[in-house]
Amino acid sequence: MTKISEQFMGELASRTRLELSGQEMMDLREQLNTILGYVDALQEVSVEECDDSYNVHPNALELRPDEPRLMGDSGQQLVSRSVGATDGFYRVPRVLEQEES
Amino acid sequence: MKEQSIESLVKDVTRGAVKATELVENSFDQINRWEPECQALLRSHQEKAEAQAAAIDALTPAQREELPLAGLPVVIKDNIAVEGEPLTCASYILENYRADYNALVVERLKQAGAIIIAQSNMDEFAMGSSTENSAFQVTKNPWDLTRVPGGSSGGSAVSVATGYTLCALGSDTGGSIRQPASYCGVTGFKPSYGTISRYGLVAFASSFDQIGPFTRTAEDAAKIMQVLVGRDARDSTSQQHPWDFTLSCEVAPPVRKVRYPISFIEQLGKAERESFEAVVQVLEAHGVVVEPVVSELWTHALAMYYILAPAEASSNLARFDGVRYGNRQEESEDSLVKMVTRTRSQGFGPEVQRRILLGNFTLSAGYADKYFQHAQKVRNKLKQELDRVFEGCDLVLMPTTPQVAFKIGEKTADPMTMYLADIYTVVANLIGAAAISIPGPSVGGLPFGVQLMAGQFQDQAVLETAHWLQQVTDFHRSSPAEL
Repeated sequence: MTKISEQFMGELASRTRLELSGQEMMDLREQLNTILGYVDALQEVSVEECDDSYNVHPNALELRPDEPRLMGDSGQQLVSRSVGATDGFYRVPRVLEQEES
Repeated sequence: MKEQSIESLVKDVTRGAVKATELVENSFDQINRWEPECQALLRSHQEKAEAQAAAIDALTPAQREELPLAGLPVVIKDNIAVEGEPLTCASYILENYRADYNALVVERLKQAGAIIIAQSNMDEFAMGSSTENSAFQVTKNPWDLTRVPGGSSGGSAVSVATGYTLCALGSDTGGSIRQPASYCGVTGFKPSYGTISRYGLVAFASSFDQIGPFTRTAEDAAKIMQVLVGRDARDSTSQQHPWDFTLSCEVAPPVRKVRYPISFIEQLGKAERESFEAVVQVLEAHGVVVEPVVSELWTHALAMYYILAPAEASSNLARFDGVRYGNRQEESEDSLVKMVTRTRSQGFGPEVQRRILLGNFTLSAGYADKYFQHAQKVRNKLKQELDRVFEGCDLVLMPTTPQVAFKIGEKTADPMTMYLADIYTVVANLIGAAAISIPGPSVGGLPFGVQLMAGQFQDQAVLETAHWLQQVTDFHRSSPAEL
């Protein structure tokens, strides 16, 4: 049966951008392992000749034309919803990490 | 109002026998009576609702005739966009976010003359089965205030059970309309995947999510469906189909043969089994053949669901990064990664974090084949198996839930136990089928639902049969005792 290791749990938290305390990490790892213990039963099902792409309905999806368009009069309305909006732009903190001195 | 159908209420408003303002007033009387105890709503819009109602009352009867839901108060789950209003998904991360546009369903309801009176509480991002995972409040079941209303659309279910409204919208990804409908003694309909546009619904698991109505009866649900269905270019999964939700009033049952999954029934407790069998007896007494069916894969449905839905959710919820939407947690020295991590860690509650981590795990290199790809293959196999089941019958009948509503706090410490509350409802989402929960005989004085499921786009057959059952029984007429 698959078990998530302590180290891999740390990797998952980092990838999903979640900061977890030691206790949260321990509790979540235990809960996820319980869930995996339950879903592991699915491995018993033979899936030979089964397709791994699934379409909920058989009809082909009709996509809209891939054309740029503005919502409302301008995109400014959307940008203004951001708490970090500055001068009509999204503001983000510096992207490059500073080296530890 | 609770005793009237939507059809007859709208007729009364249209001809001026009842004023829309009176309906809104009646809704807020019920809200004032129940809301301090039940906490089903995240916000209500009394002034706006009164103004809209007054505008409808000012129309001529001929003008109101053009509005199929003239004056009908409705409640909307807080993961469906209402322009200009908050759209929080009951999450801190979206606490201050407002919607810039109306969801398609909101557009259609408004065009039909319905009045949005409130937005309802839910489990955060629709992840949960009890509405205890809301970041803001725990909603209580009006039948017993120490119990949960079910979830994730618990606030919408309570809104109908208490008479705030005859129609509330919810969303159903693994049972989030049907399970709370069962716990609260109301009718909850999950349409086939692709029936209603999800434009404006905040995505949880995109190959499962559907919007649907809570009502007191299947007849009312059909009336709402007639307004909501149809192709919408803004949701590429919505389907063009010759929908017709006009229900017949035949005395004879609209189905000949119904099947029930024997493994599910064998798991039920004595009282729950008796409730289910009472519904079977009603069908048999009217000449419907009811037979058991064995399915190996149905017992694996919950496992499939808890691999696939969190995987989709982990991807959908990656967009919440504090840059574009909602709250942002930031300290002056934070890098971008640190700010995003701080925002997500403080913004998402424990259940949402659990599912993001689980979904990320099952999609990880080295595990994706074993979990995600394998579950997709089993999902295909389940669909084929269900197609064979439906070839030999008109409908599948089963309980909506294993038990009645559980106590608040009873399952919060053990996520797996909580997930099992959805064991009978996830099948319909996995195969994109139409399914409805209607009240069956109560168990120990609490509501207990029975579920009817048919193949994809057999929505009318489901509603027609549920409507017929509600003509020959009165299980759906019970209401919680007034406070």
